[in-house]
Amino acid sequence: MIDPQIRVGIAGLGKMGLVHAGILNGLRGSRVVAAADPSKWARSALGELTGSVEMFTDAEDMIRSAELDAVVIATPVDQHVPMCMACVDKRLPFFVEKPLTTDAGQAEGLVQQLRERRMAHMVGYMTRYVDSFVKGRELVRSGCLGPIQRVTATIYVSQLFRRGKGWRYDKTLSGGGVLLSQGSHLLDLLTWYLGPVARVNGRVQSVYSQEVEDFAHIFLEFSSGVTGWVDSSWSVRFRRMVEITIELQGVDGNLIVTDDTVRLYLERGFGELSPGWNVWNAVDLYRPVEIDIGGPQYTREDAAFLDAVRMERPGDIDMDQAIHVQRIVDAVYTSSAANGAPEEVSA
Amino acid sequence: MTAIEPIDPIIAGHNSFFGVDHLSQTRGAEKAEKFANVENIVGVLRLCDDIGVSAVMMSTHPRAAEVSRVLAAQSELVSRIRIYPLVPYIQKYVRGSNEKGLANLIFDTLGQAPLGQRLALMLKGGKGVMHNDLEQMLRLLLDVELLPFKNLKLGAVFLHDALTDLALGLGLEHILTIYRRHVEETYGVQAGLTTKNLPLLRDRLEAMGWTNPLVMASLNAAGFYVNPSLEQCAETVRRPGLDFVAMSTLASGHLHPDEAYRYLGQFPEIRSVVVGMSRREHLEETVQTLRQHLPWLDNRGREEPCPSEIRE
Repeated sequence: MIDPQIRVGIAGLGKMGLVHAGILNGLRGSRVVAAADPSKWARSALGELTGSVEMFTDAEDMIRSAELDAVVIATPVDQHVPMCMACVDKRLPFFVEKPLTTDAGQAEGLVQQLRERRMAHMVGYMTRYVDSFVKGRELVRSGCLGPIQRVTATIYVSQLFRRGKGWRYDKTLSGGGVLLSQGSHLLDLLTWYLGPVARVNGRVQSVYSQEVEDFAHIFLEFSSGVTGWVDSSWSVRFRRMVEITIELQGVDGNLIVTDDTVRLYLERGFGELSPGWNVWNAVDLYRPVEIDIGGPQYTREDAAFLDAVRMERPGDIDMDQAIHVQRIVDAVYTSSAANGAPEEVSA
Repeated sequence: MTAIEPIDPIIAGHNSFFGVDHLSQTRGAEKAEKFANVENIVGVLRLCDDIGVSAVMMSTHPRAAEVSRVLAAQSELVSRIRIYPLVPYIQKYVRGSNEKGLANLIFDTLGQAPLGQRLALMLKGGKGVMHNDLEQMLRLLLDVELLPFKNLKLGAVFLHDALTDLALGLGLEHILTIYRRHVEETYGVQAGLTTKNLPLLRDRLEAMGWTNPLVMASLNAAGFYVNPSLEQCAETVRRPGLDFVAMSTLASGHLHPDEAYRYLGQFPEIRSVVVGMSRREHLEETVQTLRQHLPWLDNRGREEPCPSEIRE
């Protein structure tokens, strides 16, 4: 028997809202039936062009009144939690873009509600679906590196070289700068690889922005005892696209994972892995998808969410994982305000 | 309308000029350094011209205007070379929408249009965005994207896969018809589409009544950037009625030219091939290998163009 298509509503028609709308409308298992955006321009453009999508000014209005099976929340960050709560109230499965919230405190009630009701939801840390990072985790979890000694990681892009316009640079709406907006992807990957973080020392720095940080430097200590550092900026030169590099050193080898390549050095063979260098490039790692709009990782992410909706359970990246990333970021801001003093990440 | 000229059989790729490398961002940055001097780009184009490749893809990268200016000054070269713009430069929209939001970015881009056209749009825009205005706006955005190439000879225009595929996903294929009409009517060249979803695009275009669409997509034995499967894409290319341009044929340098072009040799339906220029010293050998395995390419280029139309 063929499942009926999952009817999706899109809250927020910015760049990510459009990408999710394209994918979820393109995949055979789902279709977009409603969308909401306060901008008359975005609403009339998409509404006029499609004709078949019911348009709303207010996303909470859409969540309450449209006939939906699932919602994608791709609004500015400060609206994420209220939208998620509206979905929880209707027991409507939801996907919310990263970062989850402007600060962990705002989301405590939501986290509690979702622990009590095991309903379908997912948070959009899409780098977990990039082929190279998937391979990297598989290698870390295989134990081939032996006990991990240290980790260093960076996330950079050439994006901001003058004061930015729009909600991302307004702390009330975004919650933070490059660390929360982009660095959170890296923190999510690191906790996915190495488990929770226990404490941090952090320094953030604003060069072009008035309210949010453009640079963040962090020293991390994981609950497992592994230590390392993270550096994050959207104001560095020569990075045409967002670039992540994670380097792990273990007793038995080194692992370097970037957005397109995985390089593993082993002191001795491990299963099918040979001693010396083992390298996988983007072509080796590529897996096709049903429809590609903006990268296969977004399709896999949306497919994982649809699976969660069908199975009526939390998706791969649930609220507990997302709130942990948020608490790490909050701890970095607190530490930075205290000149880099050590700060515990609340449990 | 004047007859539209056929596209070139071999088109030089532009990625390395602008630091694009799908295999490695590090390698891309190294290439960007090598081509930081625009004279080096013109040098490679001259080398291409010497071996009979007088066509080059060109994204509307911020540096495209500079390259075009230098190229326009080379009178004998510019009379032979045809440019294949790939619009828009999508990283500008990704980074720009992160920096200032999608709507601000679009309005800023429209701000670069000639004053008369801008005023006409604003007058209409004041009454709310109606269908005709949207069409007008899309046309204007295209004109702005193509401004850097105004003194050069165009071979065809290609729409970036991010936009083609977004339109496909959203079920807004009729935007593609607006794009095609505008390019054909205003620039007198074929309007190509780039896609990462070839079988799906072809089905949708045929459902809209397009015949012989000009489509560029990845085709390589490694299946790199080929969705939903190499088998389905191969079948789509083989079915007559598609003006197909093969790209990523070496899977970003992962495949050796001999192996890669032997594979493409199975597809006599291929109209044209995009050849990367990152291996400058091997360029002549690469093109020779391509001509050996796809001997029909150069003859195909001289044929009449496929009569393409949008049936309604």
